[in-house]
Amino acid sequence: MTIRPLFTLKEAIKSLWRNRLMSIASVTSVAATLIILGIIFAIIININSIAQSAKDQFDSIQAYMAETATAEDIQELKSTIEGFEGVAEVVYESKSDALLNMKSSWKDNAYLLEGLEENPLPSSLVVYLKDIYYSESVLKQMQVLQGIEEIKSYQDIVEKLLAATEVIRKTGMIVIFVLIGISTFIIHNTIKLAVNARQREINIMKYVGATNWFIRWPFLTEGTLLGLMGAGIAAGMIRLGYDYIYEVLGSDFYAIISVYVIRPEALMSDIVFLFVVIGAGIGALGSIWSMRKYLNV
Amino acid sequence: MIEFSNVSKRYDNGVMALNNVNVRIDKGEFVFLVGPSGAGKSTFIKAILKEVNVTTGKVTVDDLLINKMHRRKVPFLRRKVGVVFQDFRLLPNKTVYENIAFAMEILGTPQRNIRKQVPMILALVGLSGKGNFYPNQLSGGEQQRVSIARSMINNPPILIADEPTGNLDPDTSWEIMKVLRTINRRGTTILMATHDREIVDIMKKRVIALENGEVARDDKVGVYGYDD
Repeated sequence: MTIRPLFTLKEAIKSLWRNRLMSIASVTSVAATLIILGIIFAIIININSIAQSAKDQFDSIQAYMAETATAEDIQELKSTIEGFEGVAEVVYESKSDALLNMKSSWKDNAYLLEGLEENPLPSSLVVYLKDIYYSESVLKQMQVLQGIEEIKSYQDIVEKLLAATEVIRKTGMIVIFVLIGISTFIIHNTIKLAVNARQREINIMKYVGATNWFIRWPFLTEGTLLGLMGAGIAAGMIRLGYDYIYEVLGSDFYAIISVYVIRPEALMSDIVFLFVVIGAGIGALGSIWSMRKYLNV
Repeated sequence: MIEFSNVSKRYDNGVMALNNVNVRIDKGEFVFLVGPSGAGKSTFIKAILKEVNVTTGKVTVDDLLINKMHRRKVPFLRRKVGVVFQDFRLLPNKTVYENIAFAMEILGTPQRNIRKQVPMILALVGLSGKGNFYPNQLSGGEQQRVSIARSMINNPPILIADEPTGNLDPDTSWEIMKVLRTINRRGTTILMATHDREIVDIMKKRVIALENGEVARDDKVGVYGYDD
């Protein structure tokens, strides 16, 4: 069987142009589907990335000492906690250490802290864990200890983030499947117009003994082309939008968050691959579907 | 070449289009298929092309039992059977040359062979030099010749003509019959469904008459035999 790729492509573009209104509708629907998919995908992988780095970074528990705790109390607490399973190290952070830390993390805004008459920050013990896996058991054991005012752990934040990812992933999946269905249907209709326009030709091809794949090929090309065009547009839009958001996040106010946000280049390589596969898939599926009836002659 | 044994076809709506038909057509024969409208001629032809599946019996085409043939193999059956229709079925936006070349391209014939063979077949049907014309620039008779050329370009052993002269005046019809006779003399088996009394009576070929889905007559040298 001779397949002439350039010729087939030219014919496909001609045919798409003939039905340009439906072609535009198809491309738009694929693009819309993929843009929504892209947004959900971007949210999911960013939350994953934040949760992951939080896991790695916040493998510590901070225990704030009560104001009344004496140096001996603290020393005793420290050695008790050091004995718990999974604890790597316990570091004492005095009131002045805490203030210094805060000043350094506030950077340019640190002058705001100059006006303080007395240091309001409590002293604390920072418990470094061997792994975040131990956080729950260590927490439980710490909660019964005397002399601790408040315990701050990042475990629940990490858990909440992961739970949010799960919810987004699940709802996202459903939305995407519905949208993929709709896009496939619209492409199916577009290709059906093209098939109708060439029904005579298909009929003759059947009589002369063309195989089904020979007949299907040009329409498959058309459908796939529609899907790929939609993918291209969607990828462009996602790139523009994501660049914008990345820039906003990178500016002063949200600077802390932006460390965990995936860079546009890294996101785009995944997005482009995903879009090409799904776009072409929708197009191919839609066109094969629209040909089914005509091939059973 | 073509054999129907005990073939019946009942459509879903209950119509018995073929009723226990037994026919054997040998290689190189020229056979007319006659009968009133709705007698089963179309179903007979469609059964050979496997456009319809027969309900019972066996249909053999060029030594292939086609009843149980897989759908994927049907294209290869069609390559053994050229078909010509009353309405020519040419592609209006392709030239004569392209219309014929199209049938070869489908089978993956190299362009080099196409360029060689299309002029030869055009000469056979008497259309030398008309390769660059579009179908609407040709007369009905010429269009039918293009259609015959297309059906014969891949050298099928069988040619089915479904009322090939139905849209043509008597003189033009005879020209088409001459072309068909030439093709038959080269060894191609021809089955022609027709309502043309004059042609059937003058050609003196085998005539199979179908009535109500049954073979009413099968004469070695037959006549048309109806009044319409």
